[in-house]
Amino acid sequence: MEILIKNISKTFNQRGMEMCAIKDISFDIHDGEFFTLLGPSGCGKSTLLHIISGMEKPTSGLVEFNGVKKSSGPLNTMVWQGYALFPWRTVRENIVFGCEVRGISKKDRYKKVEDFIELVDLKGFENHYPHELSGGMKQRVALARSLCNDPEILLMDEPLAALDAQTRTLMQIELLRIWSQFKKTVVYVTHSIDEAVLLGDRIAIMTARPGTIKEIVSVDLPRPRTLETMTSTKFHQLADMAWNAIKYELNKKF
Amino acid sequence: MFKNKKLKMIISELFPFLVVIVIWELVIDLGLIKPFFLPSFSVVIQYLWEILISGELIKHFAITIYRMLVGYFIGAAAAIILGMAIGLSNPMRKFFSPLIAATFPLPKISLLSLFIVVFGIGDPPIIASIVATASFPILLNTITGIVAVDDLLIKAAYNLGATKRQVMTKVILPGALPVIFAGLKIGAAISLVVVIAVEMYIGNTGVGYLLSWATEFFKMPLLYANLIAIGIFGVFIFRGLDRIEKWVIPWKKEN
Repeated sequence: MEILIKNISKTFNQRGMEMCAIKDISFDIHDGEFFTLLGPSGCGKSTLLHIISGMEKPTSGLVEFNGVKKSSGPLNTMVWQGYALFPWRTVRENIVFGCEVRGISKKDRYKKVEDFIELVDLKGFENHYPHELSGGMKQRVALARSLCNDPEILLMDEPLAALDAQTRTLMQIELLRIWSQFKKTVVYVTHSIDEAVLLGDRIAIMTARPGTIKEIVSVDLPRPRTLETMTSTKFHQLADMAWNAIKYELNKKF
Repeated sequence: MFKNKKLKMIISELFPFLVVIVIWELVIDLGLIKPFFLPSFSVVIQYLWEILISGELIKHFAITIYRMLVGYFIGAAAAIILGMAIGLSNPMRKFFSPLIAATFPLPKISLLSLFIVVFGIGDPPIIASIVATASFPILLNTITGIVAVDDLLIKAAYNLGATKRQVMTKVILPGALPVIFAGLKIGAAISLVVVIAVEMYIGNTGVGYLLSWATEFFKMPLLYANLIAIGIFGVFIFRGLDRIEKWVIPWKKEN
């Protein structure tokens, strides 16, 4: 699914003052692409993601979806930084939620859920409640729940930001492995340069508020990307480039 | 192994009571307290046994439990239904919030005089007092529980394709359930207190009546026997509620 973002602006009304969060943003995301939005905190990257998801309306501009194929699921599902798992549902019941509310028969949805439990490597934890899981496992449940819903687009809002550094790196590799199996369009918001370079096909670097697109960088690192990718010269060149672009924006705020 | 462990637990739980009973008997034997105020434990138990096999105790308990359950269930049902309506709807909340804030500090038991005037004597004023007192914490907890459901979970449910109705039944209600249940527990404790207090005041049957009768005629062993019976009954109620809670809210963290 191709996403066309056209002249998106968003202003909030904060204590009677007009506050411009993002300003006149336009770019395209290709079908099946892993697209990362990178920017300093408060630059409006999450706002942009929420506009793409349809949960928030832009003040002006529009988002177009150039769909060729249409799967059975909804247009997009979101993976949240705070996991957003239902505490009263077990791992299996959480993953199945989307299929359940969309009226897929009990037999079909429980058959389907097993594949996703296996995909995210949670066999043996199906009947655990979220509070019994580690942060990394929780995010895997959230990922499986989003994917089990057959979305055309997967939207991820700093999904790994709450994890410790080591778990985060392992989850990045895990996420790439899972993504390589379903190849759907991903829009991934992050403030981590390494993460953006390791995961993305392209990186949109955003400016400080009001957020605009400063630069779009293509990441021509070969896939599959692994832990070794992060030690390659090319990786460091790209990370330096991104860092230089973002450094200026950080200084504006700091 | 398991059986052994359970036995150990029961013994360790009963041990403090054993100590209290020993001190109790000692205090009597040493003449520190007059037996009129505190009859010896064995005499009290003897009385307890007597009123138990004569059926007297069970008769009065049955009446008390009946009043308590009827009042509690009417109060709980009304509180949960109203609480859900208030919690889910902003206009309802705007309308009811000042009313709740104004009636909250009023000790609802002071309405008893009104209930006596309106309902006369017998069960109705007792039940009405339980409804009035027990419903309040359940109402407040239902509203709080619903309002406090994490907004992120509601957003996530909509994003996964849930309808408004599904968000209500599959997210807001289970999300509010632990807080509602905490309210139900407080309500149960209040109903037990209120049923006995009101029976002491206006009843001519029930455990509360038995207590006031024993006091009036200075039947101290009967008074103590009643207190022990009420204590045991209370323990069973709260153990039972804990069981139900574990069954209804299996995701609740063990403390």
